[in-house]
Amino acid sequence: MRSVNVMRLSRATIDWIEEEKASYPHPRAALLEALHLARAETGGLTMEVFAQVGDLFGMRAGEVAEVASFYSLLTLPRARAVLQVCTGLPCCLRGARGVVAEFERRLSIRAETAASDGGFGLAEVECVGSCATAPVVQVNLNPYLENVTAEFAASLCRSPQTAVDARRPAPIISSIPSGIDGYLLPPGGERWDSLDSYKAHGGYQSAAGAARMKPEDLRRMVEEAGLRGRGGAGFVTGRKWMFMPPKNGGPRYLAVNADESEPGTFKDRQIMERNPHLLLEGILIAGHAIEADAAYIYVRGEYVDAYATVRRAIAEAYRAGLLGERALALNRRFEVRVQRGAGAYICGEETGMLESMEGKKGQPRKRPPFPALHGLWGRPTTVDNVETLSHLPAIVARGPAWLRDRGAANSAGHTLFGVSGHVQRPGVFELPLGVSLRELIFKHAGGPFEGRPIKAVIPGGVSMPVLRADQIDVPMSHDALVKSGTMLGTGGVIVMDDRTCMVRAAIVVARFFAHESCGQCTQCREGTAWITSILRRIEAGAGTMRDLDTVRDCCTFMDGKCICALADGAAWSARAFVNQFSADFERHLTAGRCPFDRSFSI
Amino acid sequence: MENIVQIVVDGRTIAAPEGVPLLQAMLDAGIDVPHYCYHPKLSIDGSCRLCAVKIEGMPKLQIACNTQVRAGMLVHTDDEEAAQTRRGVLELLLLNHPLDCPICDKAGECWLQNYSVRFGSRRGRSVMPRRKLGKRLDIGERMLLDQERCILCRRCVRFCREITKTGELLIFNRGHRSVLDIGDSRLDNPYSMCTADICPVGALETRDFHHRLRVWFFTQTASVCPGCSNGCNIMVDECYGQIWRLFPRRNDAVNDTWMCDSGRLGYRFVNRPRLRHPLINESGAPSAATWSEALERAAGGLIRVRDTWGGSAIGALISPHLTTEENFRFGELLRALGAEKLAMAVPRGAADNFLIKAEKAANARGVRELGLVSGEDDGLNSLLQSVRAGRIKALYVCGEDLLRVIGAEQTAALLQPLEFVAVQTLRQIPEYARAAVAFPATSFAEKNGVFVNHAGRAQRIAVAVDPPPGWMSDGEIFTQLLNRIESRAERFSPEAVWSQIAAGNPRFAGLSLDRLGTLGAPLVDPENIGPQTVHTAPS
Repeated sequence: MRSVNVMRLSRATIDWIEEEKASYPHPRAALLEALHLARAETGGLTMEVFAQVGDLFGMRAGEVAEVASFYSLLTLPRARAVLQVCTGLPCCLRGARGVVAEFERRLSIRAETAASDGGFGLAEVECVGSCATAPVVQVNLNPYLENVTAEFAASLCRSPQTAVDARRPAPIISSIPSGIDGYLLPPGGERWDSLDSYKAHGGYQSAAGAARMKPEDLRRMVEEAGLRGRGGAGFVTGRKWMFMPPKNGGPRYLAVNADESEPGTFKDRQIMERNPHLLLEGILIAGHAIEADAAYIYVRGEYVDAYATVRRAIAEAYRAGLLGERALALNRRFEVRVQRGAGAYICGEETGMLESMEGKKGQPRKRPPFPALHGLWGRPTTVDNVETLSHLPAIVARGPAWLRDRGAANSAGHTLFGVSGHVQRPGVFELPLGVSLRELIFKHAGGPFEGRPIKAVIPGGVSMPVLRADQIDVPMSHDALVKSGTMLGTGGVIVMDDRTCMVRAAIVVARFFAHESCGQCTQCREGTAWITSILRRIEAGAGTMRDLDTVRDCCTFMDGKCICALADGAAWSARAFVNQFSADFERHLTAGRCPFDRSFSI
Repeated sequence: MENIVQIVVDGRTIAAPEGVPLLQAMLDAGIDVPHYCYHPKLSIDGSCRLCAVKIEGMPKLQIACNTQVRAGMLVHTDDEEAAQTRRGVLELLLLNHPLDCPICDKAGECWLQNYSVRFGSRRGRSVMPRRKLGKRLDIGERMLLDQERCILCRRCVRFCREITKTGELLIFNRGHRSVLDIGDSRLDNPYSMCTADICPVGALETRDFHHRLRVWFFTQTASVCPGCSNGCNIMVDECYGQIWRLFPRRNDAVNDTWMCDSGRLGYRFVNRPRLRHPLINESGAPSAATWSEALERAAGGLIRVRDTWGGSAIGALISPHLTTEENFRFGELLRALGAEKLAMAVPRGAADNFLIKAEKAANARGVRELGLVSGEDDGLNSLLQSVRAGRIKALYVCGEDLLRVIGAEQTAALLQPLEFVAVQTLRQIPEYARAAVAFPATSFAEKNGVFVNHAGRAQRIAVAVDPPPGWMSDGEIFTQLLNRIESRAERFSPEAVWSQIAAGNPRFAGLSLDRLGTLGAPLVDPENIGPQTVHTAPS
């Protein structure tokens, strides 16, 4: 007898999806949330499930399947406990490969597969944004298991249920170094995650003050402060706001980029988990400045704690009347919603994020038109990063000059520097821009292990060109880093010591871009994969001198030639590895094997 | 109003409407900028990156498809960086391409081949195994998919989304794992085969043409689809005296660059066993006859009925598949005989609100414009009644439409009591066995002439397949009969007849064949003609 087991969505899930749909101007914005819920409930996304979800959105099953296939979290192996091991560069540098090997050995399954009984599944995932507590494992969509040791990994293998139930205390790794007048993070190990705790420290006074200002004055004030976006591109925030067209009757939006996914970057998460109301206050101020009707926060799907904390904070703010019908002193309606992504770095690209927020594949839009004119649902939209918005309360409270006085020329204010990799005290440090890279590594992050020499440092997330050890006496400011041939990016510093094989590091980075390319533009789709395969061949000892030229050529094909900057980052990083560490590459070619016996494994 | 501005491309000044895609402006000016994802009838995608050009004042290369023409733009397609980008895109697209050109239907008209030869590098640098994906996938009744050949330009995806609004084709996964496939429904929409036309490579192939013939053997002729009254502009591919393929030809006033699948497959009747010689029936069974025997028989039979019963005892069924010129000549013949009961049977079928029209014949409107038939049903019921009442003694039937309209049985019954029946037919049909004379008819692919589509647009067809020596087209048959009745010695010349029509019928006034060109022209008297559109050159 053949039993047909069609998984049906429960009434409760359907109700939840309907409620989510109703909270957006266009119901399809709830599609990713619906797919998350459907996956959690049915265990795996099949055509039948897509058809049921499709029915709720007026979409065909195939269309829903197309969207789902784009996202890593919706295409994980189907199992009761899916062990996802972060294999981003910072985690790899600290032994992620050993964790994967431990799981593979104990569970007898390969990565990207599930056991035949449907109990365990295993996946290597790209950077989950927990670089200071590497290696990191996430079971299903549970909170991260950080600082995973071999014994702890072994303990997860006892049964799928053990893995599902496993929790591990998450240390607070962000701090304000002494002597710094911090304004982004709560001091010490505090969490101001309730409205009361935030208000007790003066919270929401800036928003009230801003509401008394004219929007154009507010925009000018922020431009004057010289605040530059903290999402990686460093565009002047006030100037970006000026691109918004005059009000014309229709809705306008603020889209908040909380899709922090650049490997080596884990700072926005600190704000969302420890100081969520700071973000909401920043959103209120920006919402007034650009005369937005609503703000939508897009949090990466892996950040379950940050998502829950922000969601709770929003609910609190609504209850307190700070948001909604008569939002705090704005005297008008202002809504804030939070959405979760589903595993795709490219959704941190501003237009990729807008697409994803609309419930589509997160493929960046070609420009023109720019989001300020044609953004979310075709309406004027400004996209700002979490940390960027979190600066606004301080600017309003203390004035633009105060911010400009902190930091360096053309790089005003503090930022949250993340330091990960081969350092003794990895973490996030709130420091003024312009602090020296050496000081950041040695003074704040404790320097490399056992006093080993540094070999290489990536200063701002893996998209940014890598520096050699002799280049780290550089201020961490936009201008100074450009002079050094690299960029500030997200301020996520990754340190590699002298044992590191730079070909392996290059492979891990190239593999990331190949995995995360959205696949629209020819050069990015094909080039990222090509570079990865050439680098792997070199690492395996089968490369030739000509391969290095081919990598350089491929970088030229990609750099500046595509719809978005992902290809640029892939090209910059690959080119920098090959050019800055050509000796490492050549040793592979002459030895016919990897000469770095003590390097991290990939 | 379009504001025409001037721009300079590679030192050459060209004029183009402000705001149109720069790529289109350059293509219209004959500057061949390579491109894959851009298609003039689809939304702009901007993802293949092949049409990148240097524009002075812009720091980076710009894709010409997503750049709007502005006055004074200085564009360089011959820029070194642009050339390098083209080389790069082509090298990258070839990294995983299966290079199975020897068995690919598209070889010879493939844009990956063409551009790689013209703009690519001469040497491949990849030593990696190529990606393995699905080949010859059964994605629809009429379509096959080869995922390895696909370059992910998304033209077909946009076609299904924007033109047919059916959305069958989708791209799954992301990055280098992206793959074109169908989702929950097969690619069976009525225009599915257009995806093979717009596919720049051999990823989408029609089953109909799969592994049939190399495209460079074809002789191509511009013509009009005979399948319905829309009159989609087409090309006819001929080789070895057969038609192998029809595909749409751009005409923005009629069909843009599309045609329906049933029209596209409608060529098969041309190749099927046909009546290749006249038949005469003297002893109750049709037998082969020479052309002159058959003409003598037919002329004799018609004259005898006219002399016995008068011209009004002769009826005729006019074919909506014959050209306007042929039907004009048929009208002359019938007038010479004094025939009064003329009718037309137009087969009807499904229609949509895009290209497919209910009237399944190309030239019904041409017959009406000539004034040969009138009434809602083009005089059909009146003719049938007269035949059944015995008032008609001789019937001249052109084509096989009667069978489709009133059925085979009715047709046979209708012809049975008549004194004389002449038919012109593509195939030997049992119901026509009763006919004293049966002439072979000529298909749209074997003659020159003009069809008038449903909206009153006159469009030319042309000989794509040469008929055998000594062959008489339908027009020639009418002419020869007329010669015998009126003791003339004319030959049928569609061009001369067209001049006669244009000179005598105000609806056709001024419409010389030159004026019709390859895109046709609307008949005179705009209030009865469909919406007018500016002609655009075919691309």
